[in-house]
Amino acid sequence: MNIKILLLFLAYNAFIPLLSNITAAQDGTKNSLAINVGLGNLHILDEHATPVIFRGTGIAPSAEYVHDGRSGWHSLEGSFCFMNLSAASDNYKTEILAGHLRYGYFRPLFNGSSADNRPVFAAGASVSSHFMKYDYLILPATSWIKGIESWYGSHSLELAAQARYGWGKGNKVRMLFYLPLLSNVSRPAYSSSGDYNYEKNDWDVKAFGKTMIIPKNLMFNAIFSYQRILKKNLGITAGYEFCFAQCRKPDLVRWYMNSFRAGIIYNFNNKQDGEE
Amino acid sequence: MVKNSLLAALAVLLLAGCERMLIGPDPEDTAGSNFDVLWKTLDEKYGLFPVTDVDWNSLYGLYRGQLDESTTDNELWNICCQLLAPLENGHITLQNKGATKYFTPEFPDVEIFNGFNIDVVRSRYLSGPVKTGEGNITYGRINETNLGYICIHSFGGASNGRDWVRDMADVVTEFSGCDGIIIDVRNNGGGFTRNDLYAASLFIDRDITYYYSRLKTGPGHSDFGDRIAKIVNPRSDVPGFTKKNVVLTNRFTASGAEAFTLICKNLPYSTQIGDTTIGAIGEVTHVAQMPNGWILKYPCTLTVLADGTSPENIGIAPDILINNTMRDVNAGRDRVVEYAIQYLQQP
Repeated sequence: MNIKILLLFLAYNAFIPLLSNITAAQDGTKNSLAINVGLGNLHILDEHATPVIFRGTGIAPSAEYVHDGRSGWHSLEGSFCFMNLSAASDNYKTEILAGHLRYGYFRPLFNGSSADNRPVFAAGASVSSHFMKYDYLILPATSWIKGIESWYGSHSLELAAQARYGWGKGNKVRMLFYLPLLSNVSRPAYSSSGDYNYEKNDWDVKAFGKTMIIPKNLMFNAIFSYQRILKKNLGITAGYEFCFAQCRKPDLVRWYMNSFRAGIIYNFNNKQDGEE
Repeated sequence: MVKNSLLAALAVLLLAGCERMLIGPDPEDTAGSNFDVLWKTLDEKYGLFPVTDVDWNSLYGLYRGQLDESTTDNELWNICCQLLAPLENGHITLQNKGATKYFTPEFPDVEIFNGFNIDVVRSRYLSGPVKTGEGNITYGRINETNLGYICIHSFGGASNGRDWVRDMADVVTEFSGCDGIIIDVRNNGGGFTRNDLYAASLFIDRDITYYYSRLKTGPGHSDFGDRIAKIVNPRSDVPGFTKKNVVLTNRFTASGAEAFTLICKNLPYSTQIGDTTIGAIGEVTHVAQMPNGWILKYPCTLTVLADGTSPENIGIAPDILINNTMRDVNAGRDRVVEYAIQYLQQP
């Protein structure tokens, strides 16, 4: 991917929370950073390349920064995964790289906090970028070669919802749901020659593509996480994420991923910690 | 222990069930399913139906009915080859898992392949022949003339990854004092486009639009985008050779070597001698996977010339038609080279 496009991608995901943090510097705010290791299990059908389904498991580290202001909650999350996928026939495999960034803003629907032993629901919006690129490798004889390259990129404006429940000293569960309404989707051209760069003998992966509204690009993302503050501001976190995506243009791509993660969480500048 | 095993089994069942529910079923590895994948892949993606006189739907009906649960791998292979044969394109290849079988619908008589032997050229016509470009180039001066000879065996990549085609610039520079050059691309099956373009750029004195490419844009046999001009420019970083040249071709001149031939065909100082090329020019960037591990490669673009015709499945006809016979080669002669020498020596 072009480095300029990557920087643009990172910048647009980073500047909104930065601004909101500056304006939300007020009493009673909470900030936390969670860093996770994880495993992802991906299943993918991309008819641009093949009617064969590929599946596999790989590493999926992630991080999330959460800022709870008086007027709303902000979150910035990112994840990455690398996997080797296999198919029913053992002379095919796929190497996949995926990255994901999201900024979300939520407003609690009722006046309440997550730490007062009752569930709190919030609704909001988020912007996200999800990109996955995969090389379909074949084993014609004795060594693996790249047969075709494909990718799926989705930069979306999403509807977001969140539910939290806190109890005891520093226990909290969260459920988050995201549904993209408007997306810019990058997919290979129908003919794979359309993106082929003959000078470098490889495909030019495009970061951006066509703008689509739901359900032309359908993506559903659900995250469940649990955290427990163990000592001072330091705690542990564990979670599960499910993501499903489907886009029919120019060829059908359909995939889903289950991710399990665990990590540490640090609450900083939190005067109210442990005061509930 | 039992409880854990049951939980693990349940998890596997759930995950497997999820896949079927969320993505759909994986295509089965049966004769019928494999045939369907092969037929449908080409039906939707193959770029040369507009220049192919076949009724693809009727071929499906003809062969699909012959498949059932008792069809063996060999029988499926034969039926798939029969399905592909009428497409008559040398860029389609089907190979089985393990690469013990290989099929292409267009494969000229092997006697034509044997009608060119570089050893005959080296020993009879060249003084001090040299091999360079990681074995892809043989060159030397034609005996008792001021002519150069360059045989480009392939435009493929070198096994060590070296950018061998740049050696062409040194060869051309060495021949800068020659009156003419014979460029031999007989039995050259093509390779990387960048290599044939680099080689051709050393022989041109102007920008050349050598063909137009039309990309498939949808599953219909007529779903194509606008023409995209394929242009090659003369090199500015190294000296080229823009005096008279002759390009030697035969029925095994294919793909990138045909693009090279087309480029030279646009030059007033270049003449194509030999036989018509194979007619497999379109870009092959698609590799399809069948459920049983067989691999299908095919062109997914339509190549057209400036006049709207396509050289696909036809080839590029020479300006002067002349071929070797096995008798010539066995006698240590190459009549095509001999004719080219005479031709270039004409005032």
